[in-house]
Amino acid sequence: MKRKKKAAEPAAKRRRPRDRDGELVGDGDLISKLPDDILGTIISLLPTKDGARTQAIARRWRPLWRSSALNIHGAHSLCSNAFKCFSIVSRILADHPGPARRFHFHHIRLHKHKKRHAEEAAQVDNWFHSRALDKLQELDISFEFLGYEPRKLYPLPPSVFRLASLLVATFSFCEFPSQIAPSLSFPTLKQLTLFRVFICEDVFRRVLSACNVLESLELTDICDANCSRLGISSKSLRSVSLCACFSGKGELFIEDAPLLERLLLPCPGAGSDTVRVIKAPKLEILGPLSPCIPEIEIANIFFKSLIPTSLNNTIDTMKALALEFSATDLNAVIDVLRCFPCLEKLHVIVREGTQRVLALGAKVMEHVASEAYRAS
Amino acid sequence: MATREAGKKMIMLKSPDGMEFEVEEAVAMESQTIRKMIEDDCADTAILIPNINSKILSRVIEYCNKHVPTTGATGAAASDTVAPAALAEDLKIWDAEFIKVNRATRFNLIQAASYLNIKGLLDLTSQTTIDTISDNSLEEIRSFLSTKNDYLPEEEQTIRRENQWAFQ
Repeated sequence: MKRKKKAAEPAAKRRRPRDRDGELVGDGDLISKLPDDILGTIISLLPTKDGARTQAIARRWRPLWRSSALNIHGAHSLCSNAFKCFSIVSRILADHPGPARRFHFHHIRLHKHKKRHAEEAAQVDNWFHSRALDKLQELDISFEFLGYEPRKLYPLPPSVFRLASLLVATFSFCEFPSQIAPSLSFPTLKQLTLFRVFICEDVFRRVLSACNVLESLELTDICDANCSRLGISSKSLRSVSLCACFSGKGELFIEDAPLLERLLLPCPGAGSDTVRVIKAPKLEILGPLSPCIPEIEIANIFFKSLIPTSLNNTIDTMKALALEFSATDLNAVIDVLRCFPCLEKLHVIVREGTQRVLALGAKVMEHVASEAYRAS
Repeated sequence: MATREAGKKMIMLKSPDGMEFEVEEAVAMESQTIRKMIEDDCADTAILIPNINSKILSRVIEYCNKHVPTTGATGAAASDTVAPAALAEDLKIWDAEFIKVNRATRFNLIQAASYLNIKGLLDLTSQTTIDTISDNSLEEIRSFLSTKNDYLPEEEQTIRRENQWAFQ
């Protein structure tokens, strides 16, 4: 409460910006010479409240907030009362003509009471219908579990699918609908992140095929007992990151990804899913592979707890590999390295027995390197 | 990387004070403005960069040189290592050093970044202003900007009332 009062008054006694020598810093004479569009860029990079407050600096600044790209960050800083935050976001979206650069709202929490819940759900859906978000570029939303039904994920507002101008999208803690219109299209979306979402195989496929230029896909904790298989087919994907994809047993297929360069496994062994790379002819970067991963298949080579099942096949495109292992896995490591004869970079994460690995490892690497060198 | 190999072609940039800078095409194309000129085939001879003197232009080129390999594509697909975080960290440190310049230079860099449309450089050069505006009172912002409050008291009250959520 105290803070509120302070901010509302001209707080002459508060700290003023100073440079390294303690001298009072001012950019005024120069800043006010900048054209409106640069000032607009600066405003669009400010936190939501600060952006709107620039209207009150002086007459020159008054129209700039409305004419610059909107940046909504629905966080504690916007309003400490989570429920009030809703009406503030609605208010901003009604006030600002758009376009919006970013809509970022984490832990969207709806009221427990069913009637209020329905009203707020309608309000959330309306946000993405608003004109201000017509040309939205970055979307990052997550929801709290439904209050009236514990552990149930919030259904993603259908209006989200209308945001065809997105470049970057992150959806967390929500449930995708069981059906999606065939007309769905995100023609400019380059990065898609799904974190703890419920999505069925068919809808996942539809979403991917709606993103013609998608370059980066990150999947973490795709939860649902019914969904035990996801397939990735994309002509544009260059990077895929997979982390504990299914909470239960499941298989993730990279069926056809002609441009895929990176397959990242940031938390190896955390889920019980099996990754199978069927066709990724340009795969260059992989890892970390780890004995924690019960099974992973890459272009006909199966690694079972790091041990490759066959030494006849090699993957010649691979340039960078990350390996996580402990001293006891050294034999497996040598076999793994034989599968990737053209490696240029090897990142090693030692789990235990560092000293032994370092001593033995150095020799092993030398051996493998010279062997690979001779082979090439 | 492929873009580097293909980008061996050199481009001549000319500042209004007569200095010429030869840079790799890929470096010059960090600027969306120059990229457009090159793509529209307006760049067979030297490109004259108006309003940006040689001192500022050389710093802009220095920035583009440093940033060219990692900003070719967006996000995760851009870097060629498994651990791009370290690289990003290095760039941040480099950026922090780069921006340690006096006010006039920073102001010129903002203008150059805006004209040449180099998003990263514009974000970097605007950051000081952003830091000042965020989390400071209106009075402090005005004093920093040397801007006079030319609102009548009742006008300012109206703005505060209309955007009450922003002033709480």
